[in-house]
Amino acid sequence: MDKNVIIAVHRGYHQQGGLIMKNYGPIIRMLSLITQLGITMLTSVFLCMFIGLWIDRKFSTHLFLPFLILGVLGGIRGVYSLVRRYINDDSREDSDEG
Amino acid sequence: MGLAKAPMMLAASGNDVDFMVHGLIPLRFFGHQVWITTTHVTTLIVMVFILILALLARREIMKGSEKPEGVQNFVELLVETLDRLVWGSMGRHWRPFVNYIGTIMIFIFISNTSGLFGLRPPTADYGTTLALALITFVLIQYSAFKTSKLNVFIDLFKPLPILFPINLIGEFATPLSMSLRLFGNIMAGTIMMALWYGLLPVFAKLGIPAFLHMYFDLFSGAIQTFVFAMLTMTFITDKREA
Repeated sequence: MDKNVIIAVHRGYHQQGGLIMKNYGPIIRMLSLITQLGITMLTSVFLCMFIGLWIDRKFSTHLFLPFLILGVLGGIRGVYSLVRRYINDDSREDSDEG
Repeated sequence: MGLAKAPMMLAASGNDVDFMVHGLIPLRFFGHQVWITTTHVTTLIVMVFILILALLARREIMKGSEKPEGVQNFVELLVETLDRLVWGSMGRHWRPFVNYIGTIMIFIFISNTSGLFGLRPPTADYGTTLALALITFVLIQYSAFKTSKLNVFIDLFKPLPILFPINLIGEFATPLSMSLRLFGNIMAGTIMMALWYGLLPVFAKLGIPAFLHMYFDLFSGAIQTFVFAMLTMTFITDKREA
């Protein structure tokens, strides 16, 4: 491979049809991850909150708070499992370079 | 205060601001009243548009040459880019899913950008996005079940059995979060455009909406399409490799 191309690839560019192009893939992937994190947390909290409220109204119980905590924990789990994959990807890329 | 005033402001503007789904034709369905809405009509238009594009592409490919030119070149570029995208995200699992990912990407992208042609985007209706996310959810679970059989259910009890409820919530939150983000983004764009066209004086409607359409319909639409496909691929691969 041409020396210039090797340098370009290391700087986040890639070669396509003889042209050296900026590689936007990782940037867009990170952008999608950032916006997904918030909504993952929110949906799980709201889902559990509504289940708790519905059960409270239906059976006259007081389960709202436990369900809310469950939702928060579920959200943390969802965010963690989403981030884990990207951290793994990054560490793999780092070890490839090193 | 501001929030309380907002509906009044919309009401005061009369029929100018319109971003809601309208029922067009009432139908009786198993004793229930259902409606053919604007979403159905725009979905149909999008489907017909995709069908025409597909037939055109097919005709060009059938009489294709060794040296691709024009439409054939474009179609080949599209298919190769899609193949590379799915392969890059899913690795060795890519082959069975590339058609599904391609289909949802084309449908969502054309739906999102249909606002450019004066239609109300079908993806600005929660019914559409939830259906798309549920299809993805079923696909995620099915492909995981196919590869790891009953381990899919056993995995819900890992790392500790007491974490089962949290894992279960996490599973069901997936389709909800995917559908809500797509719906929210496109709906926001639809509302913004409706407000701009409905509430502002005539001179504000010249030129500026072109940039807004570029951002809300094209940029946001393309990003959301990509994100939906990306998340589908991420979740399927994660489940299969777990």
